[in-house]
Amino acid sequence: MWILSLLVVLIPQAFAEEVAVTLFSENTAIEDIVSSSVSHAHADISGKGRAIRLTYSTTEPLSVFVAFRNTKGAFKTFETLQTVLRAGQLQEATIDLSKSPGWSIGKRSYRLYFFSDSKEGAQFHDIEFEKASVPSIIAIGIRHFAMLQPYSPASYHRLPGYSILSIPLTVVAGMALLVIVCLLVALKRFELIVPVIVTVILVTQARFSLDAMIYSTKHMSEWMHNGTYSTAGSLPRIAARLQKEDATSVYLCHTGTTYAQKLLQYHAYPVLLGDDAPSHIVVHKSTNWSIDGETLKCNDDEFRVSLIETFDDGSALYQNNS
Amino acid sequence: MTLLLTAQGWVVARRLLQKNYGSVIEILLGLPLGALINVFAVAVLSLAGIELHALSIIGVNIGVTLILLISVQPLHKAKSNNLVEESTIKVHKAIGALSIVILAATLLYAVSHTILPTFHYDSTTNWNMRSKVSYYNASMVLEDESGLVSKTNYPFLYHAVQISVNTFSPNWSDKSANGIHFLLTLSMFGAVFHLLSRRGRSYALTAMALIVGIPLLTLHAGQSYADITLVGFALLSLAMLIEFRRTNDPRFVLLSGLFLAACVWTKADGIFFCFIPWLIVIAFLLVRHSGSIGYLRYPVAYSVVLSFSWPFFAVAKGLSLTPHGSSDVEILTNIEAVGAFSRALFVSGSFGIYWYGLLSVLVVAFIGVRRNMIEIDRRYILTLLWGLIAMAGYMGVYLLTSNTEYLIIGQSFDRQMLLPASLLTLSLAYTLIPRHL
Repeated sequence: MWILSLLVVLIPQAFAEEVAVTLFSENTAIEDIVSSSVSHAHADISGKGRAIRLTYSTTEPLSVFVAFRNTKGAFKTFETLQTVLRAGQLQEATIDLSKSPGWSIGKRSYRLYFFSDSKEGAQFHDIEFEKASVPSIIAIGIRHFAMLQPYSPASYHRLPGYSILSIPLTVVAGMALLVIVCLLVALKRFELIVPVIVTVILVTQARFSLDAMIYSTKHMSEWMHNGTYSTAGSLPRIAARLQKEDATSVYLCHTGTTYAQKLLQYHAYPVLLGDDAPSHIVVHKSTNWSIDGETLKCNDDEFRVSLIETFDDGSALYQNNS
Repeated sequence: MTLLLTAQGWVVARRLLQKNYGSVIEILLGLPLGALINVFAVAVLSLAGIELHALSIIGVNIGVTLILLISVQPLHKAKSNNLVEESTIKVHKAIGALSIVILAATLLYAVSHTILPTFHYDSTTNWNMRSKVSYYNASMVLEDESGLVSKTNYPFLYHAVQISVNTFSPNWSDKSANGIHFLLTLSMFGAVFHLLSRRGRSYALTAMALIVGIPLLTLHAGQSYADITLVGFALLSLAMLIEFRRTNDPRFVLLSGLFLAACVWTKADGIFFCFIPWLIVIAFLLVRHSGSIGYLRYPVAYSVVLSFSWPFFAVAKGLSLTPHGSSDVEILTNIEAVGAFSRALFVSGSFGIYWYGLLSVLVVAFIGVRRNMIEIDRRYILTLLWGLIAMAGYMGVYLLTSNTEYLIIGQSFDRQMLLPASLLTLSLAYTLIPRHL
């Protein structure tokens, strides 16, 4: 009898699985998740630990975004984690928070966003933090050092830099360099100062060079195989198709910053983007659109359309027949 | 068209230097000088209201080249002095290998992203977009009527080469536009490397790796924005000034002035952070010059006049000389900017630990000079002024004017600090004489 009781207590634990977690990147299709979900909610939690263990019930799979909040409540997009929790009653799942470069050893505040295909949403029974052991912290530190710096349309302005356990590597390495220089001055080894500084700078620059090489091969391979390019997705390909189609003006159905609009406008020019009597319609990462037969709705606008082409990033190009 | 631009620049370099310093440097200077000639040609066509087509551009380019050839004539008989010895600096193999890795990675990034479509935000609103709209309009966009182009008051050397290289094509080629930008960058950095290699090839490789390995500069090597173009021209101008210090040959002052004019025609920063510091450095050089300075009168005056051509053009066309108009000179203090300034240089990844190292070397160099702690080449120490003035200037603009917002939101400050960082590195590469690296 006691064996049976023990099994009942341990069953949820035995079924607790570590769910696959991905870090937000330039290719994360947030709009697709948001536009396809029927209900959504968010919750703020704070605690100290390597992972969070959730006990929940849901009738449909649940998309979860975990944002790492700073003291002012803001968060960085490229530190956000994404995962999917499977459907079922009294399920247990572990989300590895250390997959984000924003994870730190101490107490941290998180905002969890949930998106569901069901109107009923989900029920949460318990949330716990799993402690991090010293060896696991060392392993996480090494993993953070190996992470790519995020690449986005804003990269030309400022690079965020590498973080290890949420500590900026620039500060750690920079301070270490200053200490070494001070030591050399104290030891009167002046002839070593310039070679040491040059070597340390080159070593840190070589780390970024590795990222530059990875991005070069990644972007080239993505462009050659899928016709997509990082955050730009298929927009340059769509622009080329618009020119081939002799488009006169284009309606862009999109949610988010003006980046997509500016990029498509550049590549499509002299074809102009506009809302008045467009010859073509491009749907690209929109959260507010639908297609029903030949009727395409985007925000408050409605068009009679025929599909010309769909693209690898989920975008679609339509001919306007209105 | 690229060949034509290179050829006209090479003719000027060849006529001026007459193989006195080898033919490699004359070839490497071909495209940078060709780009300068080309912007003058486009400016003349814009002033005259003539459409930008292949024939008109080529015709005026030839005309400007002839004028330049005639104007360098007074320096034709300048004596070359290429026998001045430079101390060669030994570089440890590991440092050499690291430098090669950094340069190779940058080259790979630059080439691959030149082939890829234009991606970055300002390229699609200002840099490449202005070139593309100008190409289809067959005239340089100087007013924002369509709402498609921002910053139409900027100088346009960058746009002029992109327009010219596309003139033989029936449609705009994004690859050609980014390709000419890449070739221009490659030839400018190649020329600086060639000049620096007098101190040893490995040493020059290391100095170039330090500059192009600044993470933000590595990114700018692929595709567009004129920040790297400005850095390239400024480095060339500084390198020519250093060559003058080495050889006492006035032709290098003229070349320095030509590349200074190219800076002024590339970005609005050129007039404030290249022309003014250059003038101060030249003034110091002239004051401290032993012997007659009469032979420098012509190249210095010529350089000043050439650089003033942009402000004259801007006034003639009613364009603002500063990027954001009068707000750029409004005094404004924002305490938040001090924190943002420190974060940009010492915490973020744009420079990595570059500023920690650069400022340490500068301090060591200045203390070292006084106490004879380290060996330095005193001929070049004055050239550090350019980088220092540019650094102080940018600090002033971003800490004391309404531009603080661009520092806080991280839009342009980091990109602009690439200029002083690169200039200081090149000056230090000549000034310091480490026994080995």
